[in-house]
Parts: sequence; structure tokens; C-alpha cells
Amino acid sequence: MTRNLVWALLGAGACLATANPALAQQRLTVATYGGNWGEAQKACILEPFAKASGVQVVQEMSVSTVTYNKLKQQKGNPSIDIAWIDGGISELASADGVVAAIDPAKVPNIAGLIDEAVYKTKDGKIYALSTGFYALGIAYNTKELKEAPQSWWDIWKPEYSGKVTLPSPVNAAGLPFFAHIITLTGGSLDNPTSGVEKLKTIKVSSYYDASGVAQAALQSGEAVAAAYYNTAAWAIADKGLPIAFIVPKEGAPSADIRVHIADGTKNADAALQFVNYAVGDEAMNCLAEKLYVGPPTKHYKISDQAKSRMPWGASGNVKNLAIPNWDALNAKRAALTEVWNRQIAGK
Amino acid sequence: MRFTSANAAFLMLGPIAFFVLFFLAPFGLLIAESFMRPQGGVTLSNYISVLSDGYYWNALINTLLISLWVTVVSFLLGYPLAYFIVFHVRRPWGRRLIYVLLMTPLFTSNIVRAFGWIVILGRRGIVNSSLLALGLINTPLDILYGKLSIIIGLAYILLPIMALSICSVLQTVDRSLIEAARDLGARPSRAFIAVTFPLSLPGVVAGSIIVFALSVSAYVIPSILSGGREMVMPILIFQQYAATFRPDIGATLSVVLLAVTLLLIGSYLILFERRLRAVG
Repeated sequence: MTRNLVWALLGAGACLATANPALAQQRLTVATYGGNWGEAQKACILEPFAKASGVQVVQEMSVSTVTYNKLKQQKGNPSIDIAWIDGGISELASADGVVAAIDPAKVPNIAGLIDEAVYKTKDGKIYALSTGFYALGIAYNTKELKEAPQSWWDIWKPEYSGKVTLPSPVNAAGLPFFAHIITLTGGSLDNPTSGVEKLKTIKVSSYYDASGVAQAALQSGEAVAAAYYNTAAWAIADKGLPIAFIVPKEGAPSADIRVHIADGTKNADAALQFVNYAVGDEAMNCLAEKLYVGPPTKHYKISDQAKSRMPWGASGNVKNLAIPNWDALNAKRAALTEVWNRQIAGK
Repeated sequence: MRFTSANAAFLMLGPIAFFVLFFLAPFGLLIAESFMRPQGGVTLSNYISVLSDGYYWNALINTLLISLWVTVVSFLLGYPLAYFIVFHVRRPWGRRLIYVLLMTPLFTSNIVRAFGWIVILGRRGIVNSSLLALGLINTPLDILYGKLSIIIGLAYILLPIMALSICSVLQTVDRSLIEAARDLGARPSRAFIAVTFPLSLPGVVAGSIIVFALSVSAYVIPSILSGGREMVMPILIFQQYAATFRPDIGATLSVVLLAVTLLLIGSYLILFERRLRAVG
């Protein structure tokens, strides 16, 4: 009995070893998002990769800012090997030197990515790869509103008064939204007055810190419209609630979820293989289908329903997205948050 | 085993190690961070910019006022509750049942309970729709997303803590003292004011300090129920880590908040001790 067990174990070990001799004993810690996003990443990327490679993959659910702060605290000796961080924060992580350069020779799937999905430092080294784009447009209640909004300025109309929820600076979408309004009203990040004056005139129900709070507001009818993500809005619609999403004609500020290798990882080979799998067609189709993030791949195959829920709308592509100038925005984070707190939030 | 002071010291090793490891050491790092420039080097400038700015003072005063209200509300609701449990529920199983009921809300997450208040206090919530149906108001009241909803949300969560700490002291009040007062001709209300209440004060003080301290540091409830329209210190501190990436300012604000809270609680205790001595 015992002997049989030993043989069985040895046999299983031998199988794993032959599957991928170099990687079999390795272990990768992957910081993903939480909730249904983390579940989708697990199902589309982490689990299939672990199965195919024999690498032990440990998932750590987190949010971008926490992952970024963690990498900063553990600089040079990270407990995480792979980190998913949103666009905007990704630039900060690169500037701080907490993410490693990704060698394209070892990640052949980069060839299948659109140019917008490959992020390079000034000296041409790849520091991040996009695994999907999302956009902040208008989510609205199709029952409460007779007419679908078309423009950002529609939510300033009387029928929306007191029934709109907008992202606060704590939310990743907050500052990009603020910056978008500033730009649309003719201001600039150095002179945000026009955007501030415009935002002072909208009567909101609330400003939300967490995406889930906006979801609760839309579900309970507390808000009939929100500046909200395409991904989250369609997830509510999938539950059978009368919520739809539009890309306003003035453009939707967009960002993406990016995969990085932590600088100083002790499992560099496995990490590169993981990233290669993560940006492959199969994984990216799967993630787009589950979360409605716009795929970063040149050739993607998704269902018609998923196509109609893309961040760029039913017909469009990455060129339609209003991707902020993150470096400029990051330089003004503290200043814009202060203006928001003092002039908009408590008004 | 005799309970010598050496034994007591030995028993204290665990709690002290825990306190040092999980509070003093991280807090030491926080204090160090608050004196740091983002580029490196020691500076007082974080404190100067925080303390010289009226906005931060307003946020601090707002936080303290909200916490004071939470403490008052949970006292006003918690005291009668505790009094009822201790003096009117005679059967032990009845008392146990009420304790369990009182504790049950503590087993569910703050986030879930805050979302519950959105449903209750919202434009179409139970409160507004009942008032509208009764014809008492014409348009929904703006209760959600403001000071009031934060106070309601926090008082609801902290009420069990206030009630339980008052219960624990009320239970030990010597009933013969109350009977003596009554025998000497005091009406029930007089006996309560002159005997029961003063004897239960230590429970009120302990409860109010815990409730106040937890309100001052609460993040989840204000974040969800302020609707981003009220600023309290924990939200401001979180912003420094999550939005502006200025951990040095976040650390400074945390140190200021702790110092002010300790000062207030310290003066409250000193005042209370003096009062007790004066009475005694």
C-alpha cells in the first residue's frame, strides 16, 4: 500500500518534471484585482497557465494602489512576482523602478499586441503590457430616463439633477474624469478653474470612492446616471437591471489593466512565461468576454454581445479612446485632489 | 501558584510584545515618515503645512464633532437599553438572548450594513417613502450622504459596544443601595439620579471613550455614507496613500489625529476623576 503510494507520487512528480523540467519547482505570486475581476483573471490566465506549465501560481487579490505601495515598500526584494496595475499608476511604478524590463525575445506573444498595448520607458525598454482597456462613460437607468444621454453635458440637465454619482479622487477614475472635464471646458491641468466652475454647477447625489458604492446607488435608484466604467456598468446590466452604458460624444477617458514583472523577482523565467501566456490570444479573448475589457490583441474573437459592450462602443477601436497623458496627470495628482476637496466636494 | 508581581510581569509579556510589535513599531515608522521629505532628509515642513492650513483644521473639527454626536447618540440609546436588560429582564435566558441579539450586528461586515443604510435613507428609501405616504413631506428629504447619515451609520454600529460596557457596570451596582434610597423616601427617578446613575458612570465613561475613539478612526462608514460630500480625517489620510501618493502627509495627518484624540480623551478622564473625587 505505502509502496504503491510512493510510486504513484514519484510517477506524478516525473510527469510534472517532464512537462516542464525547469519550471516545475517554481512558484509565482501574482497580484491581481479583487472580486469578479480577480475571478476572471484566475479563470482566464492563472489557472490555465499553472496547468500548462506546472508552475505553482499563488493569487493575491489586491487593488492597483495597494500593489504599487507594496512594491515600493519591498523594493529590490518583492514578495510579488507579477503585478497587475492600472494605467496611470503603472507609469508611477515604472518611474520608481519597481517593475522590471520585459525582454520581447522571451515574450513572443508581444508580436500579436497592438502598439498601444506595449509600454516602453524613454530608453525603449518594455515595462508593462496591456491586458485590456476600459472606459469611463455614462451609465444610466434605461427605465428612469426617457432619452439616452449622448454627451457629458447631458448629466448637467435638470432631469438628472441630484441623481448623478461621480468618482471621487480616491477612485482611480476620479482624477482622469476631473482632468477630462477641465480639458473639455477649455482649461488645462495648470489652470483647472474652468472645470472647477463647471463641476460646481452640477447637482450630484454623491461622489463615490469605491466602484461598488456607485453600483449600489444605481441599483437602488439613488442615482439614475453615473460617470462609470463600461465594464462595471455592463456587469450590472448582466444581472438583469435596466442599466446601459454610452460613450459620450466628447470621448470617454480610458485606462487599462496592465501586467508587470516585479523588479528583483527570483523567478524571472517563470514570470516571463507567465506574461507571455497572459497576453496570448486565448487568455485575452477570455478576459474580454468575461469583463468586457477591450482586448489589446490585433486579432480577437469575442461574441457579438461582448463586442457591443467594448469600451470604444459597438463599432470602434482603441483609437477612439481618450487615454490621458498620465505623466502630466500624475505630476498634478496632489494639486488636483486639493482643488477637488476644497472647491468641489463640500460645495 | 501565588500571584506574585513576577508572575504578573511574566503574564504581561505576551500583551506587551503584541502591543510593541503591532502598534508601537509601525507607529514609530509612521512618526518617522511624517518628518521625512519625499526626496529624503528630515524636515518639519509637513507639520507646518498641515497645521497652518485651515482646511485640515476644519476636517479635524468635523471629524471630532461627528464622533461626539455618535457618542452622545449611542449613549442616549445605549443607556436605557442597558438599564432595561439589567433591571427588567429577570430570566437569565432572556438576558442571554438579548445579549446575543445585541451582538449579532457585530458579526456582519460594516460595508454590508452601510449599504443597508443607503436603501433605508435614500430618496426612495423606507424613511422617505413612509414620510411621503403619510403626507408629512412633499419632496424626499436629503438625509443620505451627509453628516446625519454618517452619525446614524456609526451610532448604529457602535451602540452594542456602548450598551455592553454600561451593562457590565450596572450589573455590579449594589441593589441594596437603591433599596435604601427608596426606603428613605426617594422616588424612583430621584433614586436613579442620586444613586444608580452615578454608580454606573465608570461604564458610561469606558463606553464613550471606546465609541469616540472608534468613530474618530472610522473609514468605511464615512466613505460610503458621506457621498464624498463630507470630509473626515480617515478619508483625508486614505487619499494621501491612494490618490496623491504622499505617504509623508498621510503620516503627518495620522500623528496629528492621534495626538488630538489622546489629548481629548486624557482631559475627559482627568475631568471625570476630579468629579468623582469631589463627589466621593
